[in-house]
Amino acid sequence: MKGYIRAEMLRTLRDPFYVFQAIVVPIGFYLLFAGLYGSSPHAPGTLPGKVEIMVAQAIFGGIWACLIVTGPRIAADRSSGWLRNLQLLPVSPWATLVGRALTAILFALPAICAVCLTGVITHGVQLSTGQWIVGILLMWLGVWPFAVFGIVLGYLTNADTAYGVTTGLYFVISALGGLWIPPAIMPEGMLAIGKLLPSYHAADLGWLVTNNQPPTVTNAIVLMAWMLVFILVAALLAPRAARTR
Amino acid sequence: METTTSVAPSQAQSGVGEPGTDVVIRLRGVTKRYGTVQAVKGIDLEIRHGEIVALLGPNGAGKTTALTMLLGLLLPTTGEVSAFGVAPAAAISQSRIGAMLQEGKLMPGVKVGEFLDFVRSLHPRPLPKAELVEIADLGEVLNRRIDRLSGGQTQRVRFAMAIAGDPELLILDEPTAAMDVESRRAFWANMHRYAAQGHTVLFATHYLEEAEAFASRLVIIAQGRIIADGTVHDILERYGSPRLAFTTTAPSPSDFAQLPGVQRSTVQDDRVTLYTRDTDATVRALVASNLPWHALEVATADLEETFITLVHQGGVQ
Repeated sequence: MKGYIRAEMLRTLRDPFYVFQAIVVPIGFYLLFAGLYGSSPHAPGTLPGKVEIMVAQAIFGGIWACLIVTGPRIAADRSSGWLRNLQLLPVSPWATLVGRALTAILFALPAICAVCLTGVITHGVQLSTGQWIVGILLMWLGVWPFAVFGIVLGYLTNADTAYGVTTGLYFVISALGGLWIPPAIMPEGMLAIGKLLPSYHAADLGWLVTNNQPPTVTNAIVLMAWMLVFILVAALLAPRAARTR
Repeated sequence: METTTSVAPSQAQSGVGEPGTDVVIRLRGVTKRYGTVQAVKGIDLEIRHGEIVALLGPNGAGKTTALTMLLGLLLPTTGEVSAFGVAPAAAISQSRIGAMLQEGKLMPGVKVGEFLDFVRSLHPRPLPKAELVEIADLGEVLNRRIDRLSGGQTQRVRFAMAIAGDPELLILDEPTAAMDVESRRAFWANMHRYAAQGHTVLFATHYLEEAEAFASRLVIIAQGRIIADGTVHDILERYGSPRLAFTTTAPSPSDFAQLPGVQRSTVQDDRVTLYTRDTDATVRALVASNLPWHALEVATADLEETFITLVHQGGVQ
């Protein structure tokens, strides 16, 4: 398992889709949006734009890290025959799945931290040490369901469709979850849908903590419910997906 | 068409003991159907510890299907497959089988050296890395990415993957496909060295000379069935036809085909070739006949000729 995770990590580091989309793109979006709206006045009790956007983009990057290590790569490995060759080695399919999910989760952390660091350096975001630790930790936990969601996508798509489907869903879920437009100015119907999504709640954890508020039970319930649903669907699809042709 | 070797009792869980006594692989009544295509029509096969077996057959004979079932990647439609007395997947998880498929990529994105580290990390008693690199001849490509290797280099990495756990049984599907003549020769030289340490090897090939040079036993399949099984000598003796060739001035050379023992004959210009079951009888009859002939040549059966005849007959059945 350790050997497998190490090998998956090496692949991820050499994967331009990870480095570019999970790290570079969210930093770029942060610089753009925070540059435009980061310093506009904000009502008392609400977050300054530079912090709100920092959380949103950190989640945006974290989600992509989770998806890219799982979804398109599982689909590619199924079509390329690597999964078939992997069956010749003494490692169980479950161990490799868990290994992939752990790799995805591991790589979400630097993606989240990269945006936070950019916020500190470029916009002088200031939070207490406790807020940084708890905030980053909770945001990180918040994106975990996406590692399992990626596995589901890897099973449902093939090498040709995986990247497009994953990217499309990623954009939709991010937009509805308030990662591009602040929830405060989102149309009500859109926000109602957004509040059912794990993307919103992952970001909400960060928004609450950076605003000195405790996370809510709803955050936990929604995120855990999605995690459970994704695990169940992945388990249902796994036997079918094991037949690589 | 069974071999005459005595059948060992099913003490299959241990791979140790006298070579030739322990059954390592057992297929019983195995068939495989894909939709309406019957790829394997019924295979019974036992392979014992220490044997080096070549699986031969024309394309589409069912070689790859049989090997894939032996590796547990495919379930037979009917029949039983076991390795070391357990299901193949279980034997793989115990590092007792190492295998190399023809198809499928290896982990894209990692370097050869990293891949070997990964594969070795999965086995309880892996071969030392230096030894593995030497046997599989990978010294020059350790820092190359696995998805950027040539076909022959990829085959060598697949071979390294197969032997990394020092398995008791090696299953190789067309191991030298995509290799040039020189790398093929080097591959078999390394393989000889490796197999000499008492490993059981089963490999599919369509190069007869590889089978003849390397295997202690040939299993020939055609149309999803085993049509011959034995040592090269056994097979030549049982199925091979020695040849008589001579020049004739006879007006109808087809008369020679009536001689005793003759199975078939060919005529090219005035040169007649007779394939016979019984060289002595045919020669005697030839001498006694008053047909005109000269420049007689007698040749023993050759494997390629025998193989073609066998496969042709097997296909006709």
